[in-house]
Amino acid sequence: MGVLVGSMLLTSCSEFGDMNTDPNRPSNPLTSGLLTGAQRSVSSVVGDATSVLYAQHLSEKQYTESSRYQTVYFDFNGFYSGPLMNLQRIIELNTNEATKGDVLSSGSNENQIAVARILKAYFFASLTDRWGELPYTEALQGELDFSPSYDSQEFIYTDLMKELKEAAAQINPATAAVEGDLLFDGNMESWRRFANSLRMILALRMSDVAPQAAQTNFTEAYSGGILLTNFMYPYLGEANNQNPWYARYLTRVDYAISDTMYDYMMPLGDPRLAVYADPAANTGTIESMPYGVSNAEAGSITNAEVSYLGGAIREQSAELPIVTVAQLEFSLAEAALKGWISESAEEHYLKAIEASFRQYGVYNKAAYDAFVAQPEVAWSEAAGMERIGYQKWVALFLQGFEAWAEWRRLDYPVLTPAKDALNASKEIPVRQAYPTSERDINTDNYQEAVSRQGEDGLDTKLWWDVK
Amino acid sequence: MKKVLLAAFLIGCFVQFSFAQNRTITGTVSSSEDGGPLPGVSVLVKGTTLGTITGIDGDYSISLPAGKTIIQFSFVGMISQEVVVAESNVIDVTLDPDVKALNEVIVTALGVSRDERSVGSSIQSVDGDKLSAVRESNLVGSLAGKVAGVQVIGSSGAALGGTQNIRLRGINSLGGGSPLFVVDGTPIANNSFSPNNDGAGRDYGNLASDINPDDIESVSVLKGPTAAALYGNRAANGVILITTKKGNKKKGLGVDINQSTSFENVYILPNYQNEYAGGYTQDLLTFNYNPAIHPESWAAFDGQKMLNYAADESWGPRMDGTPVRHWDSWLPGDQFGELRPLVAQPDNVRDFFDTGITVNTGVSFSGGDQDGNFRISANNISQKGVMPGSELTKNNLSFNGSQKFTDKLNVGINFNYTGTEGLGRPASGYTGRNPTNSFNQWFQRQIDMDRLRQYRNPDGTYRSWNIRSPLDPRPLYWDNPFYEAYENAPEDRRDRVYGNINVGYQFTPEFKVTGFIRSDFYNQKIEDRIASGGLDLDFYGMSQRFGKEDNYEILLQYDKTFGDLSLSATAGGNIRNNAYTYMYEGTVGGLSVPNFYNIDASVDRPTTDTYKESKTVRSVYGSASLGYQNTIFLDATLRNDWSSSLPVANNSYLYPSIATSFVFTELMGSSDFLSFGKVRLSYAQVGSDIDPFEIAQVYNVGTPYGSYPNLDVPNTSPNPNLKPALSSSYEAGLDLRFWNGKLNLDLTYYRNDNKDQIMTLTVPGSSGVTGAIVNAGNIRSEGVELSLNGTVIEKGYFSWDMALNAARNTSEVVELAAGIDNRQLQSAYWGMTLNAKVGQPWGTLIGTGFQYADNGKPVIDEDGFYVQQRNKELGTTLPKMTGGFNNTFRYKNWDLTAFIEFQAGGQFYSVTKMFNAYSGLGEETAGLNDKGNPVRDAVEDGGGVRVDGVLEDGTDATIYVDAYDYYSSLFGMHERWIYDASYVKFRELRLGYSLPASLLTKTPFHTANIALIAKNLWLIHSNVEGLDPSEFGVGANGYAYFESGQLPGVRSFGFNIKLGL
Repeated sequence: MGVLVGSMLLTSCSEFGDMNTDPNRPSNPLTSGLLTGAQRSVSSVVGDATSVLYAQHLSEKQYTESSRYQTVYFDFNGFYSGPLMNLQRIIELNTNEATKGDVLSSGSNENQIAVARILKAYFFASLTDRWGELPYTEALQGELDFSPSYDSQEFIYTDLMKELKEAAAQINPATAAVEGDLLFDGNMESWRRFANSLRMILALRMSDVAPQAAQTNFTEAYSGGILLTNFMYPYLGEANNQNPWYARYLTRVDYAISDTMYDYMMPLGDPRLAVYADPAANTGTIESMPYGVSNAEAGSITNAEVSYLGGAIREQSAELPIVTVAQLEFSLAEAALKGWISESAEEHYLKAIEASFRQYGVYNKAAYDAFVAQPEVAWSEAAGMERIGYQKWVALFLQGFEAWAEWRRLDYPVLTPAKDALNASKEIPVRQAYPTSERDINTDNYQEAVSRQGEDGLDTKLWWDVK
Repeated sequence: MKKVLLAAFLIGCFVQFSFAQNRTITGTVSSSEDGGPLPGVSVLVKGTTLGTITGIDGDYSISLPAGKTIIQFSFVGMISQEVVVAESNVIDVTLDPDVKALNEVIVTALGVSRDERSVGSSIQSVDGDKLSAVRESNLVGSLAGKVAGVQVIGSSGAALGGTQNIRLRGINSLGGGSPLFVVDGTPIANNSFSPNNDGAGRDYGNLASDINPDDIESVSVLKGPTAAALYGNRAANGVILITTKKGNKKKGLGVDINQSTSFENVYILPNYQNEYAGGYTQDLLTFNYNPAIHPESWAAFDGQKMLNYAADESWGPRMDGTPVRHWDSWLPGDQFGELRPLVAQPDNVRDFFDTGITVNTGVSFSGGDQDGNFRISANNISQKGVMPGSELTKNNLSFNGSQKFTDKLNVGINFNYTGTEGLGRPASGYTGRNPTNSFNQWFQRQIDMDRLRQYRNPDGTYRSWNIRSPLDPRPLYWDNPFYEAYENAPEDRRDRVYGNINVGYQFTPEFKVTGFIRSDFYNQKIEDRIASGGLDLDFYGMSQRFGKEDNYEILLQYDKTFGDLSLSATAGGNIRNNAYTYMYEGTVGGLSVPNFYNIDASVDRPTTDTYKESKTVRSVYGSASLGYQNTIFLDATLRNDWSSSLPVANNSYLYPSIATSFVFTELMGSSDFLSFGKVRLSYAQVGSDIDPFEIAQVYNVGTPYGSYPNLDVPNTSPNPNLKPALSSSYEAGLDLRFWNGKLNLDLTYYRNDNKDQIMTLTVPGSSGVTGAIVNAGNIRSEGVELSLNGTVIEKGYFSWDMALNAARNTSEVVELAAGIDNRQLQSAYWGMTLNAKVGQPWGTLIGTGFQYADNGKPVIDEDGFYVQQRNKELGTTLPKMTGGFNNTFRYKNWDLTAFIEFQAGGQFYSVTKMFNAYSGLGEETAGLNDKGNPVRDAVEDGGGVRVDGVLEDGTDATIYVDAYDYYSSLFGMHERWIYDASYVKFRELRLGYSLPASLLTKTPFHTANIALIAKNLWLIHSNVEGLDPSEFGVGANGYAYFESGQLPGVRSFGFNIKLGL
């Protein structure tokens, strides 16, 4: 009898019903929600400030440490645990036989997978252009692998080409479009074109180091159809989804137009300068801020003396570019110059500048014609790369990562490092160093990557950056 | 009563007549100390098992069998007596206190009072009046230094009721861990909703500060798992066992009044430089009139000298009396257009703070008779803080009652209510909300604080010193500190109730069953605001937290003595239900109607957060204590818990403890020198569970984009296979009492192995998650505790008592998860991290440091800047030793208590010091260099900071570096800003005078004591200038390894009057 009572007591003691089921968070994933979450993180790529400083589009007004390359280690963990993990989960849930039927309300399995793969490629491309080698094949496995090894940048680029190609082919407009898509609102054709455009841009990036693969991928992607309009991140007029530059200027005035940018654009009478920067309070004209000077020197210039980022660009709901037509046209101009495509390099170059003028609302036939007629701007086959380098740099205003990557690849424009640089080499960074957490908790793999790639600092050139 | 006696007498007679052999003996037992009755005295017929215990009035009645003539009377803390029964059937006994064993009764687990000699684990007890000598309002703060092994991480008095964190025996889990607080058997919450990691925010205090110190009779600190084993899974870090005052028969009416008024002032601030004003260069700026942008009337200002108002650093011009345009001279008002001399304001920061006032008034009523007792107390604390505009009101009510309904049935209640209301509790940490952050890190030294006091322009708009330019009066980085204090004042309110009702039934003198229903709940509301028109977007946010814990407990107690053998056994069961809800709403995008502080005013979709959780733990437990000849004792406990938050397969866990104590002086005989000696040995295990909802995959709800909902895969991967963590503890101790208790020594050695820690392991983010919950690792805490107290001198009217507590602890990370040898616990501002590193003490500081050459000099580059070494181990946060030294002197009616607390070792990182130098505010950034030239002059003019080091090619070099560049280059050079946290602090002083009885005879009072009290008198020793290393309690977890914008320490002086009616 006692045993019976005892055992009954014990059984009931360990029964708690659904008390430990979390009422605060859903256990059934809505894949459209995961996609929205991942897409919101695109803002942290297109809204980045440090890379804009590396490209010398802007100068810091007072605390100039970032433009003097003080920070060495940059954190990539948030990209993996944030958007990439969301995208990986979308792929898993749409692939796994047990779950793929449950997630159809967010679009067909194939379209969801394709979009997730394209966005994954977008994020990984942005990451590898910053750090080089990355945990890639073994990444995003959750508890199955807490020490993912690194893949070479060459491997990653090769795989990104494959992913973008396959994903573009996987898109099936005949089936249900993806839900939760704030970037293209479920337009599957746009996703296909974005995949091709991105593949084209990345192919060009490796043109110096793997010219054959670069050419093949570029031409394949181009013939598959690329974006015909600017692909912009659509910010909203509300604080939770606002333009990050708007947020930066809410209470402070940390960024002013750089002298590098001003000194190139002003003499050419570039009408975009008036959009890029506002007049200085003291003078009513555009005044630049010296780039990369010490805090003391920066501080001795008062706030009313310089021009800040143009008001229209930093409206609360102002869009920021993800991929622009100008950018693609410059890529085509370069491909033509390389002989990859049998089209006119000059034509694409001029179209690129025109697209950029249109993007900033300053296109006017006469002004444009006068601008491109200037000897420093006018197309020259011999100085083609230089022309493309400078004009692309101007056109990629605020597309920091892209502008910085293209400067590294093209070596145009010729930029002078910050005068009072704080890093050891005093040179403009050509990569960013891994987060210290990798060194501390993924040590073996980290060291293996560093031994392959070179010192984990700002000066180690990436695989594609050979010149 | 007479009737009862008569009845007893008659029954006695009847019994006598009926059985002829038996007699009934009655009587009263009292104490020789105060003549009062002694309840609970064991009365035993020698040579039999017949016995009883005395009642509330000390009375007893026992049946004496024929042939037996000796009755034994024994009571803990008293010398036992044997009385031979003669003719009389009434035997009154007076017991003498056992001087060999002072303070022998201590409260042990489950609230059981026990003879200290029988306890085999480490428990240290402190009387309530020792804790509240200077009327410290937070119980945790008052424990600092008073119990060996307790480390209190305090917070500044300026925080007004801020969090005081407590650690017992160092660190016993990766996350630190805090002991369980228990009031009269009721576990109470001690969470803190102060800011978590970076310490930036406002501190609303730890929940245990709701206890009214005046209600505390004594505090027993159960230090290790052995003592605390019966409290189960939350007791791995020890238990703070609080016993409240009960009513009893007293002299007089039983009314006590305790009133104190004290005044607080800021006593510690960094040493500032007073040579240079705000700006980035030493040249004064000149106002150049420009008719295109300036009003015509400003033409006259052309050529006037002015300052760089937009700067928030002080590398500016010399304060040499030159007439300049100060910030306010560009703002509307009488001062517009004024030129005033540029002069030093050495006390400007001190001038910002007010004198705080604390009025603390308590009254209690207590009484009792043979059948019941009660005590009611009420207390009010009204505080005005040193931070302008800050106020705190705390009201306590408590009721303790107990009533006997029959000889066997007893019903008791303990009820406590605390209401706390705060206004303008100051922010701490690196935030614009914290004026101290500005004063010590980003400021202009020439600011005249009185000119900021008027923080509005005539048109009602706000004004600040940090204007952007003469034409643009908006602040650039910093609002006016008075605007911050008065306009952005948060409001908070907490209502707290805890207590229990209990019913006990004494079946036999040996066997008793008690049932308890216990509850503790609080409701805390915090409203935060940013006023419209300041630098930041206006804002309103409100959070509401409700926490509740109910415990249903049954306790069976059995005590019996068999000849030389005594047995004390308990068995119990408990069901604990925890519930917690949290709700937050905050405006986004500003307020649609200025200064309309309501969620409805949110311009954009407001941020909302709702959260709820519940948890149940069921437990059964038992203990047995066997004693032999009152000399050797053996204690054993066993407990099993079932926790709802663990996976079903692993949710039951059992753990034992065993302890012995041996009073060796009983065998060897005591001498005048060594009057009492005892050794203790114990071993215990305690299992710990986890928070709810950590074992199944769920998705986080993120910020939506328009109408698109947002879900995210959480950053921590769940673990469906978790099992309870287990800590094992060994402990050995020695109690020695010399010269009849004039000197008492208690030594304890302990070792805790905390295995299978349930921890969120930081994993490479590239795995897709940044944390994984695992069972792994071992943190070993090892240490020695010493407590020495006694009477140094007792001569005539004079006496001197002292108590010294000291503890040395190491908490080593023996093992983490497989393949992991470091876990980052937290990261402070600018890359300094706190780590658990295998083979090292818990709390390794890792950051950027100097690189040293073989000759010990730092490596510098050719410009004289230090070459940095990253990822360098820079120290450890845990102190080597903590303790306190208390002295009480008495002379006639005077008493003087002086309490000193100390800590040795432990390092911390100071962001305040870093920016104090970076911004040119600190004393070290001005003055002369070794050449006798102003250090701030240009290097080519003989100025600059002298840097001695070794160049990278190995040659020694001395280079002068521009002062601004030098201190800028030390930003993020963590090693330079790591300080030793050792300190010696004269924490409490009380000088009291008890009015002599002769004076009181004509008053209604029977006792009266007036006293001068003082807190934080003097930081006697510290290795860091301008900061108080005992007050780094930023953050709810109290890791205390860094500070940023620490609120200045506060010293208080006051009066205390205690009256007894």
